[in-house]
Amino acid sequence: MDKSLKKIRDWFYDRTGFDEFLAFLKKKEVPCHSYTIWYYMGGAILILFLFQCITGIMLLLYYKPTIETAHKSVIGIMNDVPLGWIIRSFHRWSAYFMIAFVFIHLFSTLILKAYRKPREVTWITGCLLFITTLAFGFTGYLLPWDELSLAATKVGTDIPRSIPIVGEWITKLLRGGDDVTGDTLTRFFALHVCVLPLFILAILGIHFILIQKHGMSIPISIQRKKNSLRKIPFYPNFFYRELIFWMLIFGIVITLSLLFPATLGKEADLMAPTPKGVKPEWYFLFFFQTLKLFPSRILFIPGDTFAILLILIFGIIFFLLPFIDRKPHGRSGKIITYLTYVFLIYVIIMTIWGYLS
Amino acid sequence: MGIFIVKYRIIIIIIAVLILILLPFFNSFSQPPQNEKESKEIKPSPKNIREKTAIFVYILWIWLIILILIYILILKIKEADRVYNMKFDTKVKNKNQV
Repeated sequence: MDKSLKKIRDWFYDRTGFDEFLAFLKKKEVPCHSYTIWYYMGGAILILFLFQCITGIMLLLYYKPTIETAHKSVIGIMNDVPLGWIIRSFHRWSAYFMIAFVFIHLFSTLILKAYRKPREVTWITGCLLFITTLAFGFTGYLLPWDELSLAATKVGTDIPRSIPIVGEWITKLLRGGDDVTGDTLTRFFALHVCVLPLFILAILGIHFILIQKHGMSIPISIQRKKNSLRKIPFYPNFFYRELIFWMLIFGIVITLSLLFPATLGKEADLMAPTPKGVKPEWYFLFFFQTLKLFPSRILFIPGDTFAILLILIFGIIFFLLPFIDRKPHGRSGKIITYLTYVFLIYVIIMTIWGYLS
Repeated sequence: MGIFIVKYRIIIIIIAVLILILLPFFNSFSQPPQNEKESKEIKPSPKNIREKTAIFVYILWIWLIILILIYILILKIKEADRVYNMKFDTKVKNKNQV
């Protein structure tokens, strides 16, 4: 290396301690086995989150969050801003992929039982990240302020109303009033660009620290094998492999963004009736379809309240799974794995059904 | 046998995810007629044949760059693995000698 370049590098290492960080990455090892592919999911989510941040900041330069200007500013982004439609499409497609990879990461963690001792807190932070990602999707959907997004937000923010005692309050808090108005748009905008990013960064930091502390989880079936497990250094061996995966993701997302750009519906009208056949985004379809299955009354309880309570109980069980599945090696652990498969199939079937119905 | 089961699982999950992501396109079969749809949606597609061609050229260029970079990375991975295995072998040999 050139002497002057070496001097700059040494100065940089001396002042920042970056060489110690690199040494740490070289020392960090990643287990190599037939399930290693699932280790790439976390990195994929991270790179997609980075894409979201970059394109989100670009959109933020032109977006105006009021009911008079929101829709017009999105039209402006699509028609007047140079490459604006590509940036918007890329933002939407990378969001779809991010949510899809979050689902994959969640289900792979569930099936491989990566939540087992000592990774209970890692699982809880992962669940929080999952909820935050969905919240990003929900709040971002309203921002273009078209008739479909308004109607979907009306339906979505109406769901918590069924929760006993606090339901009405949650709906009012989300909407900033009794109905979806300009206040809701302002709230969703603030949540989407400020509150949720700060929250996700904080939780992501804890999630990373915990992964560094406990290392990558090794599946039970691999752990049982007596022969020694092959490991590779994180940097450069695993990192280069991850780079290939990231580039493929980038290629697919940019291709889809260019060939199937994000469209925009008619401007939302607060006085207009709700259009027929309103559906949420694909990642909420299984939830939406489940709610539709319940009758109007079950025993003495209204059907929607019963459904919401059931889903809440299921969510709490899901959240506390590492504390419930105390013997992942045993019979109960196997039953939980089978239930996970059933749940995965249920989510897929309900999503397809919700889309086609 | 176990590896085959794993591969099947991976394939099933990948197909499921692709179905979820590509659902918007499947749904296009049950969409209202094109004229009706156009009046409702603002589509930011390229305006003329020149822009359309530019997009396809750009996609080709992007994929060419990605494939070249992947090729370089595969070479780098092979080298990194070789160096790591060499160190590992040396460590094992040294242990045996002791």
